[in-house]
Amino acid sequence: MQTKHRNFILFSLLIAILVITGCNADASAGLFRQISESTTPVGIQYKQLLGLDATKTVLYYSTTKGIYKSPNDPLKASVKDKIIQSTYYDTASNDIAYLTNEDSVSINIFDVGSPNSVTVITPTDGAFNPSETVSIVNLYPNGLVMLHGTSAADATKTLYALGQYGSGTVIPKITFPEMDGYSLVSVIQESGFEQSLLSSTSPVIISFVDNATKKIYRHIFYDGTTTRQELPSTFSDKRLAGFSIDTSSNVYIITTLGELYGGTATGAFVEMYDAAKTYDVHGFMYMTEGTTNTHIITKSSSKNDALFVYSFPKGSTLANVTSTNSIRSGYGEYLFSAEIVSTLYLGNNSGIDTLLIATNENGLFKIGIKVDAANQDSSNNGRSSQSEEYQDFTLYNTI
Amino acid sequence: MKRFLLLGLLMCIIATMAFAVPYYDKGNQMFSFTLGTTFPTFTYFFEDKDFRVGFGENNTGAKVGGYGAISYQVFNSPTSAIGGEIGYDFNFSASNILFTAVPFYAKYSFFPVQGQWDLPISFGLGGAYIKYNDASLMTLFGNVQVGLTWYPGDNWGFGLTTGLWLIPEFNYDDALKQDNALAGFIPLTLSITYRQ
Repeated sequence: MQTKHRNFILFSLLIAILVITGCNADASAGLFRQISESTTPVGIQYKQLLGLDATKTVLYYSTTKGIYKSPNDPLKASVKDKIIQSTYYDTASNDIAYLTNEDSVSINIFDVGSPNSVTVITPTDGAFNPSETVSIVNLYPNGLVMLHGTSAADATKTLYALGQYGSGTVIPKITFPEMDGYSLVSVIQESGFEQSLLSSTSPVIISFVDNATKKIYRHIFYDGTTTRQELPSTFSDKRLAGFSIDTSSNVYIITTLGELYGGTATGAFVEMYDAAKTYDVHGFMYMTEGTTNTHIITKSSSKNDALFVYSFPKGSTLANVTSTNSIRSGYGEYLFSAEIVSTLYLGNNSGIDTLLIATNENGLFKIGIKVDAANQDSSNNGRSSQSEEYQDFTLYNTI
Repeated sequence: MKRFLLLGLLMCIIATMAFAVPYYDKGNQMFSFTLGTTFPTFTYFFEDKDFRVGFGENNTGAKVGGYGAISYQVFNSPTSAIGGEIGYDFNFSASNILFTAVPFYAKYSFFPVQGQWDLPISFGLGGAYIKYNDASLMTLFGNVQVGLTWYPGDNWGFGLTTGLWLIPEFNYDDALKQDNALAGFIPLTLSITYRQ
């Protein structure tokens, strides 16, 4: 009887240990894998890649310390109480516009050749009540400026308006009168093309959330050339992390909860895949279109997580056709523990997309993605420079 | 030469055991407070057979950390004691993110040398709660340790202990199975022990 009792206790203990061990379900990667792939911060905390100059040899970028041009020449430093928050490099006029945390109604501008000479402009829009203050919500890497104020048509309503900075002025683009009672959540550009001016191939998605519940979202697709399009109610309870648009104008959207949707801006969307990933708004989401398949390369919000690729037949927006893979080799070799903050598409040569990848703590990388092999976790998928060893901004043509 | 020295040490321990009068009796107890450091030694990933050795980036990824613990043991014979230990370990990764482990385990110690100097050889088996970034899990924990404790009086002793900890990670999520691993740490700790 005593032996039976002892066996029962031992068996119960064994079951209890088995039940409580190994529950690592919420992790983006294995615990010891995350530690072993961790890398030492390089001391540069990038914020934005602004673009290359006309010769394609000089890169403009911003860090937590200010605005720089490559290789490491400071143009404008962030100083106490005037921290540079957002920046835009205007390639046409060769000047840089920026906002600091102190700037609520004006934008600072300097020519890259004379950074000490700063001019200040105060943008507005005819749709605003001229007797009320118009505040700047944000300046985006593609030169868009979001303004907020009181509507000229109805003084009881607030209004958001989007303008485009260029050559020292902000030209009004669109207003959002229907968003009275809503707050701006985000203005998302495609990864790699954050700096590209609005066009049919470089649209933006502007998201708002209602002030009352903070749960109802409205998302506006806008390419600057056609009428803006509100995305369907499929997304009314979702925050968008990123999107891509393919050569057939199909739009692919990833939510912050890892759901991949495909559709067209004017039509319905289908949930193509639901990955157990979480993404930040503006998370890295870069699309490559291969010969037969499309690959969307993403980086989750976890600091220690490999790049994650969604792959599906080119042009498809159907459910159950998407496969996924984690990428630790090739172009993803050094990005496991990196927090990607900004990317710049340099071009394609010999079937290889070349991008600059700026990270929060791990420096700048130049990667080459072989578009037809982007979902392979092997050295055949592309290549990557080591941190800060990008050498130049020419395109990779071999892996 | 090294083998000869080890053999000599073993002979000394056996000789001491053979002729020594046991200091402890069944029922004696020990309370210990431990503080020290841990050295991340290796991580072995089962699936890709990747064996990483050493501290920091491109190795285990973890830096030298710290450990504190309390333990209790009671002698079940004049030369062996059973009990348990609970502790807290921390190590920063190369990215300066904190890894923590809370091991709690049953402990069996053998005392071949005892008296003013104790030489406990211990084996531990239990669990550990480990956490890093967005990953956390309850897992198994095993260790083998050897120590040397000096008792200037009857009750209070000061010790130095080292050994090897083994912490496995088994993920049941298919996406994480490729990250199943075994991690090893070498602790080096100082302890204060009260015996009665």
